[in-house]
Amino acid sequence: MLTSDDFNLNKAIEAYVRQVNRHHLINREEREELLDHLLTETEILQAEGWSEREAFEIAIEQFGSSELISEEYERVKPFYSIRKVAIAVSLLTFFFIFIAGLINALSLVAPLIKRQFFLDPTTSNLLDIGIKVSLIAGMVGYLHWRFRTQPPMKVWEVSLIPILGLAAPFFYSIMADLFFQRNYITSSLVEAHFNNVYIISVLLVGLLVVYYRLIFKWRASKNSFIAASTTDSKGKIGIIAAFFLSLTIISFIELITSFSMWLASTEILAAAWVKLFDLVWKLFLLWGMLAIIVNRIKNQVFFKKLELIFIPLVGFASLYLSEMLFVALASRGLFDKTIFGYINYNTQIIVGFSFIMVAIMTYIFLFKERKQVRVTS
Amino acid sequence: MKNYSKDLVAASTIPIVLSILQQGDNYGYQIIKEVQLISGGELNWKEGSLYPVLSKLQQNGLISSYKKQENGRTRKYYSLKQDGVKFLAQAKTEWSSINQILGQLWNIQPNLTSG
Repeated sequence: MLTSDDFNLNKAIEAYVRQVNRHHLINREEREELLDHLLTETEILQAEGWSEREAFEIAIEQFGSSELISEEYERVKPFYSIRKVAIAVSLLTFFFIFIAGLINALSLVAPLIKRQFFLDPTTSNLLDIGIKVSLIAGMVGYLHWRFRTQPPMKVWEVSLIPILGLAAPFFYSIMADLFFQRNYITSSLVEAHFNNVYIISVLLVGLLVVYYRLIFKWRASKNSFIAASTTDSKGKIGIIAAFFLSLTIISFIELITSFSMWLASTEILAAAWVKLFDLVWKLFLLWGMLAIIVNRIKNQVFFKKLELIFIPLVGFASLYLSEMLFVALASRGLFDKTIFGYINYNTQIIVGFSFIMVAIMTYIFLFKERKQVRVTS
Repeated sequence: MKNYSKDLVAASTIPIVLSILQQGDNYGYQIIKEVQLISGGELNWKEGSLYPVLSKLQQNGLISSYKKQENGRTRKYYSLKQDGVKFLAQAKTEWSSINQILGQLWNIQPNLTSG
């Protein structure tokens, strides 16, 4: 089969298909399909009397430029490129943090109005829920519309979301400090906190329902054939799963905080050691997760089937577990404010640093995407 | 070979692919060759463009795929699903009514031999 020159047909075809797959949009099955097509074509052309190299060149010419084909794949699979999924996950996470920060900040509104107009506690509580729910409903409606129609993101939207997500917690703590100083804070803030927990629970349960419906549909669409599972819903599933994964990581960091608080209260270890261990465990967790994620992306495997099913549940459960542990510790009086201050400082530095890194990465990805769109269009 | 406008090619690709699959299950390479044969070589797609279209049709649940061993090679065959049949019926009515409208406007005698 091999001709005298050093042209290697298989390698040439592989290289060409790799060019088509430059944005990693094509799965293994589709890749084999393209290889099969090009091999069949070159075989037929060779039978017609063309040399191996000529046959390859004609086949490629008929197949179309790799830019054109990869561009067409991109149009068909908007959520399938790693970079786009990464952007979507980080935007979703920042959006969630923003919403959580926002409803925390809104907790301060009802007590103010209550003070001003001498409202009774029930009205004030209803007011609190009303403000939050109407605002969140608007945002969720917007997000739902985004996911369904997938219009191109506007530059101001994508650049604003990470900033809002980063700023929301800071903004809230500044506001809360201000209110504490002026003694505006009353018991209604505790009620408002419970409202927040309910609202966030409803949001997360809603997201879980959407998620499992997507998985169910995706599995149903596979039916009896060994079908390629390259659907856009696969991308959406990945995005939501990765969002819950980031939620899991954050909750686990909180769990470590609770554990350290408990460890400090037993007085087995000196406080200084507890602080150090706390930092080490948190870093260990983050680095471990980072190593796994990088490894997965390199090997082009993402979530495994079981992980897809369980990660959202774990994320959801660990959020409550960390909250419950924290409350349990506080209610038993195992809560040393100075140690908590230090440990919380650890968390803030680690989480804050990670989020800033994620935000920077998001902007880099966004910039690259923009450039790429410019080149192809 | 004629150069059809990009929009027209894009709009007609899906009904053409679905019509070919209605005649029987088929794989990518053969689908393209059949299009070239039927059109007498006039409709010359870039062959690679077919695969993203097949991928999209599968995403939308109009077609499904399965693997089949053939001459020592694994081929990916596509078959039309129920939704695809419905979609094609809809496309047929749309295309023929557009065809009639243009025919009347341009005063072309329709030479449809069968309904």
